[in-house]
Amino acid sequence: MTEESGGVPAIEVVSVDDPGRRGRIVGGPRIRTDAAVYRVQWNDGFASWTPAYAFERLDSADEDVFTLLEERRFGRLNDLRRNLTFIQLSGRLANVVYSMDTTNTDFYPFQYKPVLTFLESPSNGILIADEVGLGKTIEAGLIWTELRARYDARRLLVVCPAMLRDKWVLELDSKFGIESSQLNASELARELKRNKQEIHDGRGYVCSLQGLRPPSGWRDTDKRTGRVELARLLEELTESEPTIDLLVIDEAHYLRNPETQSALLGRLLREVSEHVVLLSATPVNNRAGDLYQLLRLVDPDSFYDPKQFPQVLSANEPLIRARNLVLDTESTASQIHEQLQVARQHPLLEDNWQLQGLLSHDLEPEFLSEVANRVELANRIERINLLRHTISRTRKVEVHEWKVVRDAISHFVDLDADGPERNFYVNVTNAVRQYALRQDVSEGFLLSPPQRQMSSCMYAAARSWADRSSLSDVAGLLYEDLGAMDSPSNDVGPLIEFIANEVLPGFDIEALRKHDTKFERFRIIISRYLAEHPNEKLIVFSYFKATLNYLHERLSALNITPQVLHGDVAENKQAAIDRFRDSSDTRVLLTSEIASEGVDLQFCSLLVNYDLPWNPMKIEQRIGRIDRIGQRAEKVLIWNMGYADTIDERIYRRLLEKLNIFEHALGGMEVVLGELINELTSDLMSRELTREQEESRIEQTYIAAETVRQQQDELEANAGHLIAHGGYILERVRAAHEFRRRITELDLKVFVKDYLDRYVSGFEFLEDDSDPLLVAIRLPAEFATRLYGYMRTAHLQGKSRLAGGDTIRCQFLNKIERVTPRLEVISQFHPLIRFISNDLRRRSEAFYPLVAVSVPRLAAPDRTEAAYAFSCKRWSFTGLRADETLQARAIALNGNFQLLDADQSLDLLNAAKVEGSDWLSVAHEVSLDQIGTAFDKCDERLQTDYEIAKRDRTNENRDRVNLQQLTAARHRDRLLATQRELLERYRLTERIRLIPMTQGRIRAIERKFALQLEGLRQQGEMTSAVSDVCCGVIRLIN
Amino acid sequence: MVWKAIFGRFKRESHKTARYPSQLINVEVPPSKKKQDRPIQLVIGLDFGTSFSKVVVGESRVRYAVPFDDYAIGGKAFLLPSALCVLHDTGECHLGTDRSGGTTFDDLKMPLIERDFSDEVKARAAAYLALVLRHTRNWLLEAHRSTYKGRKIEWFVNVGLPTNSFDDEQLISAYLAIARTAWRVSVLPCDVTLQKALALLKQEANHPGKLLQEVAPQDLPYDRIHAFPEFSAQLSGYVRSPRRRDGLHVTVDVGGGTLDVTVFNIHESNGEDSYPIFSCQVHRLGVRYLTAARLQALNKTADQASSPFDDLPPNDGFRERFGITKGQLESADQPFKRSVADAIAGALRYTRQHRYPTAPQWHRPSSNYGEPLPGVFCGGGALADFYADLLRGFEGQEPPFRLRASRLPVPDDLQISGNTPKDYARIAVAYGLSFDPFDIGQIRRMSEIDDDDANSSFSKYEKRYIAKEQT
Repeated sequence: MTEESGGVPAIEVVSVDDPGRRGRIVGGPRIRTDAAVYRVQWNDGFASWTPAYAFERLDSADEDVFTLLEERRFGRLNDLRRNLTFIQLSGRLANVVYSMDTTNTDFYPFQYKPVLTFLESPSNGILIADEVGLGKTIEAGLIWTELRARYDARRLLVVCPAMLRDKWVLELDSKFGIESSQLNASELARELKRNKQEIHDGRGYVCSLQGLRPPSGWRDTDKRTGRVELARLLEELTESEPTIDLLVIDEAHYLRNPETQSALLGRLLREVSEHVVLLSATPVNNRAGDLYQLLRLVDPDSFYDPKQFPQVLSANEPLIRARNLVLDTESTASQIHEQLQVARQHPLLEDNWQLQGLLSHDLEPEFLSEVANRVELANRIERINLLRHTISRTRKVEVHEWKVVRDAISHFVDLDADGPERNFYVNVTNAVRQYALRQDVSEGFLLSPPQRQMSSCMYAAARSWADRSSLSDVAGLLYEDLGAMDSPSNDVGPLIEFIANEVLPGFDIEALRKHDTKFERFRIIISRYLAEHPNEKLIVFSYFKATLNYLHERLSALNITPQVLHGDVAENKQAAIDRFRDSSDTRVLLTSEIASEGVDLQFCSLLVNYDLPWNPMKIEQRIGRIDRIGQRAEKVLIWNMGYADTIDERIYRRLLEKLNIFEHALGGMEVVLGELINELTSDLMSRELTREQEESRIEQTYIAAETVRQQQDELEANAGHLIAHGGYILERVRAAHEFRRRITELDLKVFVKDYLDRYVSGFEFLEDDSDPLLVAIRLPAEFATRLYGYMRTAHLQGKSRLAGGDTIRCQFLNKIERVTPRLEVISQFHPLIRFISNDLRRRSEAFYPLVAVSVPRLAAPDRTEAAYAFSCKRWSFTGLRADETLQARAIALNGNFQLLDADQSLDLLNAAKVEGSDWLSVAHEVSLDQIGTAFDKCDERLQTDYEIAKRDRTNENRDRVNLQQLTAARHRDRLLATQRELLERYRLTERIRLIPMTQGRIRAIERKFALQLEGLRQQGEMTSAVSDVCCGVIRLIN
Repeated sequence: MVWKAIFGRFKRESHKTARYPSQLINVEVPPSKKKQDRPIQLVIGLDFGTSFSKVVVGESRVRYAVPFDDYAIGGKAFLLPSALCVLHDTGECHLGTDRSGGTTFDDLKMPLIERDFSDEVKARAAAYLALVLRHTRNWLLEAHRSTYKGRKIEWFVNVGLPTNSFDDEQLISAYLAIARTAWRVSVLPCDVTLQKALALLKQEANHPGKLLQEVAPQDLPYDRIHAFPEFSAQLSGYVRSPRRRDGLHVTVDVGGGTLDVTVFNIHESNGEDSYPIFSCQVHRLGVRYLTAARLQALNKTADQASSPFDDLPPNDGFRERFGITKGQLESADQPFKRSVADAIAGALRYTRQHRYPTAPQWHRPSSNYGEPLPGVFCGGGALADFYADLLRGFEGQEPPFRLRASRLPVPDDLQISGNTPKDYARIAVAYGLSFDPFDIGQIRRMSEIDDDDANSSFSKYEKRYIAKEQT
C-alpha cells in the first residue's frame, strides 16, 4: 500500500490482462449491472474507470516467473523495454557501446575498434595508429564520449601541433558537444591546480605541443615562465591522484625521440593522466625503437625497459602462431597445444592464469570442429597477447567503406625555346647554383625556395622578389616540406636578394604575365570542369601566397570568384572552409598548405596541385584532404601542374610517379622521406648538374624511397607480431550497431516518462504536435530541487535548465549537444537521465519479469523458427575493473529446444525491444509446459555460461593484478630512482632548500605505492553476482 | 445538465460514496483469481456516418480498427459505406451495395438527422447496425481467437451522435433505441431482416425490458449501450496522449459538407474530463463546397471533379488535373479562403469578447512554447492542403487569432492496417467511442455557460452537476 498525500493508504492494484501495469484506486465504486467499477490511476500516467474483475490487489499478485507463467500473465513490449533500458542506462555494461550513434559523426565500424580495445586496456592507454584520413580525431572523441558515459570523466587535455588547435576545438564542439578552450602553458597550469571536482562535466583543453614543452634546463632555471611553471607543477602532481581524465596527444610521433623536450612533456603529462590516447599515423612504419618510445608513453610501467621490448614481441610470437592455427580449420589440437606450451615457457607468460586455463583443458576434436568454437578460442588466445590492449591500427586497405579511386592527370606545359619563361627559368636556376657555390651553401631548404617558387608561378615569383616580400614564410614552409617541425633559424633572404640583383634588372616582368602558359592551361581545364560539373567545387593548392594572390586576381577577372586561404587571411581556417563549403557562388578554393592538415575537404572531388611539393608525404597530405572517409564520389581527381623539362618535371616523372603516390596512399614514411628529399634538394640545387645527372640523382632517391617502402610493407606484413588481430573486435562493433545494442531516443523518452509516472506527481510532459520526441517538461518543485541537488553534487550545473522548475522544451535525442536556450537535448548523458538511473538503482525495484513480444521476421532475418523462449540475466564482476554484462539465452520452441548462442540470443532480444509489438494471444498459441521447460533449459545454460565467464574473468583478473603489481613496483622504483638521483644532485650542488622537499616526495611516493599495492592485492580476488532480468517468449511474424 | 447523464442509466454513486481515499480502504477488490476465470471488457465504438461507418473495438491494452474487407471502398478497409441492401425475395439484409435482386438504401443516417424518426427509417438503421455489430464480433473472435479464447466477454456498445445535435433528446432517444435493437437483432441466430428489426423496435418501444426469449440470454443491460457526441469521442485519444494541454482549445472539423469550429475548454473535474463549450458553429465550408467553389471560379465542370467522398487532391495535383497555375488556383480560392478564415476568426473573436475574455491564450506569449491557443484539426478533410495551409496561417497571427495548429495524435494502442495520420483523422471518433463509457469526456453545452463568466464556470459546474439517476 502506498500513502496518499493526506496520509491515507490507497489500494494498489495490478491489471489482470496487463500485469506489468500497476496503479492505485482513486475513485469509485460506481455500480453497473454485474460489476463495480473503480477509477484507477495507472502508473503509465493514465487514469481509467476499470471493472473490478479487471484488476487485483498488488499484494496478492505473484512475481515468480513460473507462477506467472502458470497463470498466463504475460507482460508486454513496454515491460521488456523497461527491463532492458533500465539496465543499459544504469549500468556500465561491457557489451554496450555507449558512444555509438550518440555523436554527430557518421558511423564507420573501424572507428569503434580503438574504443573497444581501449575499454579493455589494463594500462588505460592506447596508441591509435590508423593511416591518414581514417579519422583518428573522431576515434579519440569517441573514447572520451565512452569515458564520460561510464565514469565521472571531467577533464580532457588535447596536445597537438599548433596548427591543429582550431580544428580540435571545432570538432570537439560540433561532433562531440564538448566545450573546450585553447590554453597556453601558464593557463593550463592554473587550470590543473583547480580541484578536478570543481570542473564541469566533460570540459576540454586544447594546447599546442610547442606551447607546453618545457625549456631545456627547466629544473635549474630561475626563470618563471609558463612552460617552466607547468613542468614543475606536473612533476609535483605526480604523486597525487591523476588530475587529467584523458590525455590525447595528436601527431604523437613528434614525441618518439626520447631525448627531446617534447618526449619529456609527454612523460610528465602521462604521469598525471588517468587515461591516454596517442594518435599517430606513422609509428609502426619506422624503426621499432620509435614504436617502443610511444608504447612507453601509453603504458610506462609495462614498457619501462627498452631491452625488454623484444621479449614482449617474442612472447607474443607463439601466441600469434597458436591463434592462427586455431583459425585454420585444418589444424589439430596437438599443434595448437604445442604452440601454447611454447608460449607458456616464456618468462613473461609462465605465471599467466589464462594460458594455464587454456592448457588445463584438453582440446577435443569435436570442440574444434565447430567454427564458432575456434573463433572463441582464438579470441581467448588473443586476450593473452601482451600488446593487444596497447595499439589499434587500421589501414585503408582493410576498411570496407574505403572505395575511392584516385585518378591523377599531369598537366605539364612546354616553355618556348626563346620565350621569356624559358629565359627566366634558366637564369634563376643558374643564379641559385652560383649562389650555392659562392656562399658554400648546401642545405636544400635554403636553396630550393626560389626554384620552387618560380616553378609555381614565374610572374608571381618575380614580382615578389622585386618587392622583396614574403621571404621568411617561404623558407618556413619549405623547411616543413622537408620533414621538420620547427622553423629554421636561418633565412633565405640573402639568396632572394642575390637573385633579384642578378636576374631581375633589365628583365621584363610583365612579359611573364602576358605569356603565362601554365595559367592559360589552368584556365582552360578548370573552366571546362566547372561548366561540366555545375554542382562541384574544387581545391587548388599552392605553396606560395604570391601565387595564390595572383590566381585570385586572374580568376576574378574571368568571373570565377575564388576564395583564398593562407596564413595572412584573418579568418579562422575552419570558418573559412565552412564558408566555402556552404557558399553557392564560390566554387574554387585557392589554398596554401594551411589546408593540407587537419581539415576535411571531402565535399570536393577535384584537387589541383598548382605546384608540386617534392616530398611525396606532403602530396599525400594534400590528397588526404579529399581522399578520406566521407568522400561521396567514387573517384577523386588529382591534376598536377608544372613546366615541362624542368627539375620539377624530372622529380615528378622519376620519383613521384614511380612511387605511384597519386594512385595509392603512402604509408607513413615521413621522416625517412624528409631526409631523402632534403639530400636530393641539396644536391640538385648546389651543383651544376646536366639533365642526365639530375635524372640519375633523382633515381637514387627513388630507389632509396622504394627500399623504405618495401621495409615498411614487410613491417606491415609482420604487424601481427606487434598488434593483435582486430577482426573479432570489429565483429563486435558491427554486431553492436546492427543489432542495436545501444540506447535509442524512444528508450530515453519511455525511461523518463515511465519514471515520472511512477514516482513523481505534478509534472508536465507535453509532447509536441509535430514530433513525438519533442516534449515540454516541467518538473514539480520538490523533484526539481532534488535534481538540482544531484546536479550540484555531481558538478553538472549548467547542464540542464529543468532543475529550475520552469517548463523547458526538450528533445529526446541520443546525440551529444550543448544546452541551448531554445531546446534542451536529453541524451543518455543528460543529468535527468543520470539522476533517474541513480534513483532507480537506489530503489532496486524489479520490473515485470515475464513478457511476450512479436517481432517482424525482417528485424531478425537469421531466426528461422516461429517462436523462441528466452531468459535474460545480469552478471556483475568486481575485481580490478568492475563491469556488468547483460546475458541472454534464447531457445527455439519447436520441440527440439535448440539453443541460440549468447550473441544471437541478445540480438533477438534487442530486435524485439526495438522493433517488437505486443503478443497478446501468446497464452493459447504456445504450450505453457513447453515454455516452462524452455526457461529451465535457458537458465541451465546461462548458469554454465556464467561459470565459464567467471572462471575466465577470474584468470584474467589475476593476470592483470599480477602484471599491475609487478608494474606498480617497477613504477615505484623508477620514480624513487629519479627522486633519489635528484636528491643526490641537490646534495652535491648544495641546493639545501630543495633537499627536504625531495625527501618529502620520496616518502609520499612510498606511501602512495604501499596503498596501491595493498589495493591491488585486495582486488586480486574477484567477486561476482548474477541477477534475474526477465524471461519471455518471442514470436516471429511476417 | 451534464450531457452524459441522459444517455445511460448508470447506477452511479460517485457523489455519495467512495470518492475519498479513506473510504477506499474497505473496497471489495476481488481476491486473486486465475486470469482465465475473469471476464474481459470489450467496447465496440461505432461511428455511424452519413457516407461511411467506422468501428473500433477497445480493451485495456489495445484498440482494433475493424476491417470490412469485402465491403470497403477505395482501399481503406476500415471505411464501410453506410448502405444497406435488402433482397427482394427474402427480405434478407446485407452490407454493401452490390447485390443484385435487392434494393440499396444509402441514406440511412440523414433522415434521422432531419428528424424523420419513422419506424422504417429506424428499422433500416437498426438492421444496418446489426450487421455491423455481427461482423465486428465475428471478425474479432476470428482474427483474435487465441487472445480471447476461453474468456467471458463483457460487451459494450458506444454509438456516436452528430456534433450539432448535442441537445436533441428525441434524436438521442432514437439512436439508443436503434442501437439496442441492432444488438438484439445481431445476436439472433437468423438472417437480419427489416421485419425482425421492426418487431424488436416495437417491442422495445411498447414493452421495454420484455425481450424475446431467444434474445434474452445474449442481451446487453441498458448500461452497456450508450450514445456519445462525436465531438467528445474524437478528443479521447488527444486527452490521453502526452500532447494533452488543459485549457482553451479550438477544433476545426472539416467534413465532406461542413466545417465545424468549436471553441472549448479541456478540464478535469473529479478525475473526469469535461469539455465546456464556448462557441460551436457549423458552416457549409467542407471539402465538397471547396471543390464546388473552385470549379465555379475556374469555370470547370463538375464532372471533372472527384466524388465528394474522395480525398481532395493536393493543390499541386488539383492544378495538374485542371491545367491551371498556382496563381490561378490561389486567386480562385481567395473568396472561399476568406470565408473559412472568417468562420474561424469569428468564433475566436466571439469567445474572447463574450464568452471567456480572461483566457490566458488571449495574451501575447511570454515564451515561445505552450502559449498559443491549441488548434486541433480533425475530420476527413483535415489533410487537404487548402485547410492545412489556411490553419497554419493562424500560427503567425497576434492573439486572439494566434493558433498552434495540429492534428489529432495517432494513439499508440490503435491497431490499424495502413496506419497513417490521415486514416486516423477518419477513425478518431470510433476510436474515442471504444473507451469505457465512464472514460469518455463530458460536454457542457454552450447554454450552460454564462457569457463573461467562464472563469467561475468550474466551481459552478460542481454545484450544477446532475447525476444520471437524477434525470
